[in-house]
Amino acid sequence: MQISKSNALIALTTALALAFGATHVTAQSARAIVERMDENAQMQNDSSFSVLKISTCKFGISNNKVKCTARPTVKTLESASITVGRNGKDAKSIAFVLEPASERGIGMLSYTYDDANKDNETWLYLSALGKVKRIVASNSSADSEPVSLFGSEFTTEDQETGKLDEYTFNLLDTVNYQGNKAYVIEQIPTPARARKSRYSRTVIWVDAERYVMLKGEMYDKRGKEIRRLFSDKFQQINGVWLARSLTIMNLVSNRLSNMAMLSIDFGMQIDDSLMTQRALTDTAFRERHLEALRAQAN
Amino acid sequence: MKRIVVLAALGAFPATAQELEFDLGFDDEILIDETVDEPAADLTFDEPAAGGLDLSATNSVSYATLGSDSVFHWDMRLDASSASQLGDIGYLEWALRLNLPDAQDGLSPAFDIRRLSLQNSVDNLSWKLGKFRLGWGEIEGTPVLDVLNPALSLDEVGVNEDELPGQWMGQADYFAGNTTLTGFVIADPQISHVSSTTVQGGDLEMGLQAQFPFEGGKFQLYAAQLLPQAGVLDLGTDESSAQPYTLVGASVNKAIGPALLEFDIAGKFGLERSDLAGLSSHDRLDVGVGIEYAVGNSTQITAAVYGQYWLEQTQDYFVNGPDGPLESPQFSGAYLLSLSDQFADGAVDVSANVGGALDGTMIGYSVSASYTPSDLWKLSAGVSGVFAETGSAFEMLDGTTTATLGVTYYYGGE
Repeated sequence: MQISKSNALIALTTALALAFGATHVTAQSARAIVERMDENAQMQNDSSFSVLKISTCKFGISNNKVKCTARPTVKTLESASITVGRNGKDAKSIAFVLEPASERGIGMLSYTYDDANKDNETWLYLSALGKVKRIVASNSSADSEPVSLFGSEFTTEDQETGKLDEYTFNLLDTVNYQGNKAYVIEQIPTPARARKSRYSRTVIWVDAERYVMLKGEMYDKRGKEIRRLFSDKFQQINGVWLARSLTIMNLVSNRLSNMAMLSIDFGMQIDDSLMTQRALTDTAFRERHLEALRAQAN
Repeated sequence: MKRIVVLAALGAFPATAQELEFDLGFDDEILIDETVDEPAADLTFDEPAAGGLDLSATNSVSYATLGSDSVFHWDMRLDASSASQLGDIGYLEWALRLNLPDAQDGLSPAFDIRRLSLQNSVDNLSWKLGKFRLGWGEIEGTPVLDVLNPALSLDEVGVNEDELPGQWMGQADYFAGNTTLTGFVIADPQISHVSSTTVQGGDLEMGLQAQFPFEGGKFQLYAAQLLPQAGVLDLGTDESSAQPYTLVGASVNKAIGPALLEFDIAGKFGLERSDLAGLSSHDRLDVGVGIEYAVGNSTQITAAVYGQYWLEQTQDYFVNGPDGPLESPQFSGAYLLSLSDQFADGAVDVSANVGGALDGTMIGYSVSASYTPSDLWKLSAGVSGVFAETGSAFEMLDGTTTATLGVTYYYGGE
């Protein structure tokens, strides 16, 4: 069938209108999906106390399985989190090393802000220097990485919640992923965010029923996939869906880290003072608070 | 030139043997094999690990040259450290060292308490007693506000921060909201002297610090009565003198993206200077600016520059030089530049440092690397050296080069 120029123009215009309309609708939907997923993630910070085991190793692939090619380093952490701020969208968290014994007590305090204009903050106490140090994140180029969580491949950027205004979201597809309906969503940082991030694009698979991330692929500014995140062992605890196992693979360095949640308790009575720099330096104060949390958890 | 490796504290630690295998196919054949609606019955908290005892033995050899002279040195040391909660008494941390010196030095084995502290707190008050380090100021390694701990000797340049010596002191912190007030008293401060004849005007140092955090940074105020880290040589009597002086200072840090900007300022009142007739007291303004830049997950660049300005200079003052008195200028300054990184999955730690006087009369460098193939062993190597202008105060150090090799064995590792 031959189409006249005018008809072709009308058809093209209609197609573009439909396309823009569809984009608008899917963008809204994608944002709504991510908001629900983010709310779920933020609920994990709501007065929670957890014990985590982070294993990190160099990996290789054989028989379609990812295996550590060297003995992993293993750290066990205790972590407490509370939500604060307007609508509870900011979070304060603190984590201490339980094992290995030589690193026991090393702590990291983090404040994360929903407001895109506020930089997240991280502090450490360095006994060798006799002071608390503010840690700066390096997000300034595609080749750099932000603050690592205790030497693992997990970084503060990967753990971040909120700041959704720093991204645009596109719903790419709805798929069946491992027997579960999942949304495939593309997350593009705004120019301002892109200047602070290693990632130019992230694609995430979101469980359509539980609104948890099943998988993520992170791309650098050259469009190359540099990291891949997998979630596993999902559980609903106190109405909060969470993954008890997260694995992040650095596809550049071939290192991976697995974060296994050994335990988590919600609705804990956590004193706000534990989320201060005092907890990094005042060991007796910290241990009193942690003992109280352990007792609550039991 | 003390290296500043903040992220090293977070570095990977070779731990227990454990094989991990993840069924994470690149073709998306990931198995979500545990989808349940209720908390698992086996969700339990692990008991916290008991405080362990860390034991290690280090054997090191060094080769130092200065002109046509050279010295080969061997020594061994045994280190033990631990930390434990002592019920209501508080939290005890200690680190002990037994030095087994080279027989050619004619020294006996020496026992050294590197760290020993008991810490506790009640309500908003915390205290700590013992031998430890207390850091002041934002810019580590510069003598603007980082003047509480003993000055490093050349042998200690480039040494691992964990091995830097502490000193006996008491510290108390009062926490009032976000503001923290800290007071300290140091008994018997360690002062280095270039003369065997010394005069010291007291055995106590004390000071106060107030910390005021703000969004993205922190502002701090300081006031103290201190003794100088190094005695001042009286060119008339050849005595080394250490008299108390008063310090009033402030510091601020502010994070901007991947950079942490740092600023230190201190007024020091009653510092001694020497003219040809003897010592007299004077006031000085010290200022430093620094930046810490996190290039990557393990890579950090640190740079700092600082200056010291005597507030009056109506006559000539002098410092001791290799060939007699050298004129002491009204202004002097120095710079520090440091790069640290990790390679080979964190097993190799490398640090390079350079620093010197702003007027170019001296430049020093150190490069160190360590390799930790397992939690049993650590191999370390380092080279440091000094170049100094003829006629400068550092002339005697010109051409000094020291190379060190060390191996450390950790007992109980796997």
